[in-house]
Amino acid sequence: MNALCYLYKTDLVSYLDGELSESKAQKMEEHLASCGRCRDRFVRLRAARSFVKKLPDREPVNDLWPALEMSLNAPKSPVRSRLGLFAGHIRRPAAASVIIGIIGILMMGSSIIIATVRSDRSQPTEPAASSVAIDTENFRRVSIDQLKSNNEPHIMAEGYVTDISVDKEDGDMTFRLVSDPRKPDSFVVCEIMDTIKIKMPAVGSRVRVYGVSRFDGQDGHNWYEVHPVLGIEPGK
Amino acid sequence: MVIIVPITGWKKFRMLLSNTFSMISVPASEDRENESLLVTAAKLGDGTACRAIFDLYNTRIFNLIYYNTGDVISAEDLLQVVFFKVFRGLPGFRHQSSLLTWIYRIAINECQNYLKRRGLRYVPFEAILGTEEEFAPQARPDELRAATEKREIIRLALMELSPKLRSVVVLKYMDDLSYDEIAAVLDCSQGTVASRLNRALEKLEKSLGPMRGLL
Repeated sequence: MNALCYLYKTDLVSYLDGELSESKAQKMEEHLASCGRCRDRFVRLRAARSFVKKLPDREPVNDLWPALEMSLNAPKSPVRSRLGLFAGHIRRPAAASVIIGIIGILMMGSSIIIATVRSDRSQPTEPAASSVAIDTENFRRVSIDQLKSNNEPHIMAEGYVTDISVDKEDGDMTFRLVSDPRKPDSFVVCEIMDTIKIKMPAVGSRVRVYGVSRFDGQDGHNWYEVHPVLGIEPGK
Repeated sequence: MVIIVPITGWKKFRMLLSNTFSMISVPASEDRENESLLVTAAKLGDGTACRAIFDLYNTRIFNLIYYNTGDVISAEDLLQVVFFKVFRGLPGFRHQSSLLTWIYRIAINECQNYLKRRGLRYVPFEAILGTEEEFAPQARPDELRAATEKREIIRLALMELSPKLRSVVVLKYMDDLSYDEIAAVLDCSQGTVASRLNRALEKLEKSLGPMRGLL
């Protein structure tokens, strides 16, 4: 490759993509007309580009708007307080945190709004319950054992909380919900996104989890999930 | 300033934007004005405006995320995170770029964060159990398999590129952005865009060139 070829090397892709000015494009064409090596390189780059253009456009398989809309309608981070009404049992890597929430119950039809309160983890308190502004009538009650046959996207599953974990990178929290603590193989994984700010329930507590039903078929997973969790309330 | 648009007006408005933005990626001045109205309404919490923005851009952003991450499930998750951040961050959007450019930036950052968390060794679900196309009943099995395998070879070669090179390839050759637009998304110069595309195509040609006759 001579010095001139080196000068034209980077511009070759710009020429291929029609991004060169008219004068530069003309000079490039004059060079290509006289340089077999650069012509060959141009052909190879064009072939590589054509490979990529064969890839199909992909679209989401699921309708993602309903879950997104619910997440957006959820209240933002609760106000911090030291009321200590709810327990926080998750051991986060960060220092202990205190979140204050305004507690109230507003009944509008079947809608329930309960703000969350989280206390310092060194002060254990009552079992946690938290939810966001959701219309529970829109969620179909599904038994954990029957998730395979469920086709509804918005479900409520009831069970006992086990196996809590926190993703250190993004702050998302997961727990398993089992219908019978003696049969842990029958479970649904519940994922609380950090952006939605729902309080994690205590291990062993019986809760109702509202959220979007999905199947995680990733390598090593292959389980049903409630993801994202949109609300949690005490079980009955 | 409160903008009140009747429902019928929103439907027409949405159609206008959908037709406009499907043709060009960087709006002309009139389209910028329309986009500005939409963003203003969304900032005020108008659910219809938010839905319109989502409908306008989600497939393009999904395409970018999918070809950056390599699997549908993760891409759907990330798409939700991206748009959640878009709508939560909308009050801070100052129209210094087009809305789509801004959304692309958020998506690129989310992909990079996700790839760092995931690590380099990862086998997507579809690579193990197959994609929907492989089970489509209408095509003959051998034709379908051959077409799927060709696309999979190309896709895997794309996944072999570094995230930086992969992003420019997807933005340019799949989303059809100009160098100028890509530079705005990636916050770099057009020369950097050209340089990355150059390197990316050279690497792709090295992996796929020997199979040119088959692909």
